Parts: sequence; structure tokens; C-alpha cells
Amino acid sequence: MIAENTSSTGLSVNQLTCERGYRELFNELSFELSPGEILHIKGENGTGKTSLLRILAGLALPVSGDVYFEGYNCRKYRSEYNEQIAFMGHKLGIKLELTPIENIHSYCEFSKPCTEQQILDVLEKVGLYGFEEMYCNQLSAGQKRRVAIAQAILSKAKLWILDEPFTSLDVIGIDYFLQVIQEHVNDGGMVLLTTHQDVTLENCTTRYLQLPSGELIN
Amino acid sequence: MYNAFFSLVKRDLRLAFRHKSEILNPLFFFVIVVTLFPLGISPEKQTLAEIGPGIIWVAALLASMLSLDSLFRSDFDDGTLELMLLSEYPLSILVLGKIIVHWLITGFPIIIFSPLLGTVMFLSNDAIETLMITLLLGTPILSLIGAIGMALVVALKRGGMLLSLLVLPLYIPVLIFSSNAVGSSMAGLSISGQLYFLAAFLIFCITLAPIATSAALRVSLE
Repeated sequence: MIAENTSSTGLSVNQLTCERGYRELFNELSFELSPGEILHIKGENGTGKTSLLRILAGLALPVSGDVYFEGYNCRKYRSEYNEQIAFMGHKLGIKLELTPIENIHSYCEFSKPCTEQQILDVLEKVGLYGFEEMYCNQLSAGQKRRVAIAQAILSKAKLWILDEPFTSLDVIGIDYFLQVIQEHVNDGGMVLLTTHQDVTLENCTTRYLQLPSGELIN
Repeated sequence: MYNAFFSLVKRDLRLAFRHKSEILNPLFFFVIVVTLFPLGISPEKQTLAEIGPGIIWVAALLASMLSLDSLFRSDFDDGTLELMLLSEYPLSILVLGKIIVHWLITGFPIIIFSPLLGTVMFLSNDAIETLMITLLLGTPILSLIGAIGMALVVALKRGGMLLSLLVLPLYIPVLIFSSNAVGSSMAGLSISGQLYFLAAFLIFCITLAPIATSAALRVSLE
């Protein structure tokens, strides 16, 4: 790989424009995200938060603009970029007819292989001890989200892209997930998230991106 | 990469065996459609032997098409398709794994049951043997072509009719050459031409269909 934009060590978004139908969601949006930072994308419903995250994950195409990760164009080096990201969208990416262990195991095979012990440890960490062998269709909405969180943790990805990650989680679940995010960021990871809740983390650089204006607030 | 491929195959087979209807429905459909013809047209041996190859092949083709929904729909609904797209491994390899599983749960049982239905239609032993060979070569083609169509309509809520319109015309060469091969076998003629065509078409589809399906999935999920 040849670096195209060496100025960035993290994620660099360059003049991104997005339209849905004939409606422009945001225009020439630019920002950077460095290791150890959280970017909280804010905005009213329909301002393009999910669309932005899908573009950044490579699941949707912008009208114009580019996304660079560690200096490389993400569209050109899709496979390398995919290795570095974990995406949690509105749909959790878990199979209801499988157990949490089976779900995570199959997820890990698509990203970074992990051992059964690692899966059990993470499931215990996310509060699913005792539910490992239950089918996911027998779990509550919050517990299913915890399975998805466990998948993100085991992905060992540098960049987490999280769309409304606290939906269905109880207070303990939210606190725990915030702690997980904090650990990830303190280890040099990056987090991009949308949520209507206030995210306050100690010792973490959190910035806010307001949509559709694209205004960055430190 | 091979771990991801085999893990996907294993996962989808496990899901299919937990959802037994995915395996049984196309098979029951295939058996029922074929057995309805003697009741509706004529139980005469000569008539059935004449139309049997075509009927068995049309039933196999429709059974395969009806089960296409199971290929990507549930993955689309629960978000695992998005995770597949975000895998670091080539999407076409993962897609090929899913197509293989689709063939194993729909095409393979049809091949196993075809001698029984060939007997019901009074086909000769040679014709039944040819029928099995054509199904072995043809049903993977149905899954491979069907995957492209399904990938194009996966995000549409009522894509069933569109899927038929997209896929059925592409199934026609398989139907013509396969039923013709079985008919030729019954008449004692050479069938190598038809089998070579099916084999070549299968290789063509194995090579290109996973790539086309991957591209269609990316477009559909945008």
C-alpha cells in the first residue's frame, strides 16, 4: 500500500457530500479523528447521522469526497480498511437461531479468529455469564445488544463505528459499555458514534460533530 | 480466508438444520408438483415417459427458485449481511460459501429423490441416470444464477415477482439442454453435447456468479 495522505494517523474525512433521493443531507463535510479520540455525531432525526456512519464504514457511497484511514484511501484499500473497523448498526448482526458463543465465533472467523476461552471471558465481561448456551431469540433486546458489544470487543479493530449503541441497554449496561469504550480509546482506539444521550467519559478526548452544519465542537 | 469460508458454510448448514423447513419445503414442493402431473394429465406410461424429463426439470427449477429467498433474506434482516460486506476477506468467496450451502439444502436433496420420481414417470434406467447427471450439473447453476437475482432484490420488500422475471429467462438454457439430454438418452442418442454444454455453463457460472452477486449485494445495501 502507498500512503496517499500521510498527514493523518487516524481517520480523515475529506469534503464528503451525501444525498438521499433529491435531498442533500450534508455538504463538503471534513473532519479528522486521531487515535485516542471519540467523535460524537449529533443532530436531529433525518440529518444524516446513520448515512454518515454507513459511508464511513464503506457500506454506502457519498456523492463526492473521500475517506482516508492512516493515510490510505478507504475505498481503494477496502480489505485493509475492513480489518481496522468494527461496525455496529441498527441491525445487530447476530443470528437469533444461534447461541451467543456460536454468533461470536462465526463473527470472529470473518475478522480476527479467537479462542473459545476468549469468547467466554468477553461474554462474562458483558454480563452474559450463564446465557452462553441459550439461543439468542430467547435473550432480551438488551442482552442481544450485549452480544453485539462482545463481538466489537473481540474484533480488536482500531476504529469502532457505533450507530445508537445504547439502544435497549439498561443503566448498568450503558455504564459498562461506556467503560468499554473508554478502555478502547485509552488503548489508542478511535470511536465514532451517534446517540441522543450525553456521553461523558473521563480522561478521553470527546469531540462533537453537529449535523447537518458539520460544525466541530471540542 | 479458508477458515472464514468453512465457518460460514458450517454456520449456514447449522442454521438450515435448526430451520428444517428450509430443507423440507423445496423438497416437498418438488415431489408434490411431479406427482400431480400423472393425476392431471394421464397415468399412461408412454405419455408420462415422454413428458417426464421436462416436468421433473421444471419442478426442480421452481423448487430451487422458491427457496432463493433463504439465501440472503435473513442475513439482510438481522444485519449479518452487512458484517459479511465488512469482512476483510473477499466477499465473493463468502458468497460462494452461501451458494454452496443453498445447493446442499435444495439441489442435493432433489438429486437424491430424482430416481424415485423418474420411476414414477416411467423413465428408463439410462434416462434416470442421465437425469441425475443433468441435475448434478444443472442445480448448482440454478443456485448460482439465482444468487445474482436474489442479491439484486434483497433490499426490496416485495421482490419475489421481480426475482422470477430476472432469473427465469436465465434458467431456460439449463432447462432446454437438461430435459433434451434425458429425452435423447431415452431415445438411445448421444448426450455428450448437452452434458458438455451444462458442464461449461457450470464452470462459467462458478467463475463469474459469485463476483456478480457480490457486486449486486454492495449495490443493494447502499
